[in-house]
Amino acid sequence: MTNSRPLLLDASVLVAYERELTRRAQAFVVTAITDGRILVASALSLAVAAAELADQHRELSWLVEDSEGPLQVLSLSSMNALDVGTLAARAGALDAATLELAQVVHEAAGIHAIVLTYEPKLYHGQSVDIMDMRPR
Amino acid sequence: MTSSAFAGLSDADRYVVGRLAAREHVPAEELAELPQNEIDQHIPGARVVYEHREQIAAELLQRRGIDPTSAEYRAAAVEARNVLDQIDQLGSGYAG
Repeated sequence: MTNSRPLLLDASVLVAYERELTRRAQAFVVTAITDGRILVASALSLAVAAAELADQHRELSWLVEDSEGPLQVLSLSSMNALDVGTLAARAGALDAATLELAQVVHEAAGIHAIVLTYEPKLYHGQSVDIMDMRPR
Repeated sequence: MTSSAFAGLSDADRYVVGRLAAREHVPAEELAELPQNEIDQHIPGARVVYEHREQIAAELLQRRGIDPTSAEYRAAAVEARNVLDQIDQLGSGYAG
């Protein structure tokens, strides 16, 4: 049976989607869309990915240009910003990557999402289900 | 019994409820008993995406210049399916 939990793509997957030449990330997104899976990304993941991609994020832009398009961006607002900041502070370092991790973990816990990542070590010790996207 | 209400929805309705729930930062089960037309009014584009998902996927491939019949893409698609199968084995994650 298809799992209806949202699939939360972190910054590492968003960057791969834009850059990857082997088509792995693109094939995953296409297959997930065709299946009718719910694809989401945190606003901070999108920001971190954009920073890493500099000005080269045309395909990612297309995917998120419509707020109700195939990839839903989870906003940072009065509903969650204080919780995300508090969670990040517990990790010690207040940099963009830590803030992103905090929002991903916070959102995944709140909506029972599965986190897709190329950097599974980041999530060690976190109470979220992750899917390691690295080649087997 | 909100989890059973969610499980009883059609695939399309589960998608729309799930999209709205994600946007509102809450588990989908919490919204599953709302009238479906009310859900749709809150996120009208979600059902459109679901109903046109194959066209969206095809457009995405076209934009990227990907030939879906190429050996490279077919291998990547098989790998993607394997990942999704693993995801399906993770369970619903809902306390129910």
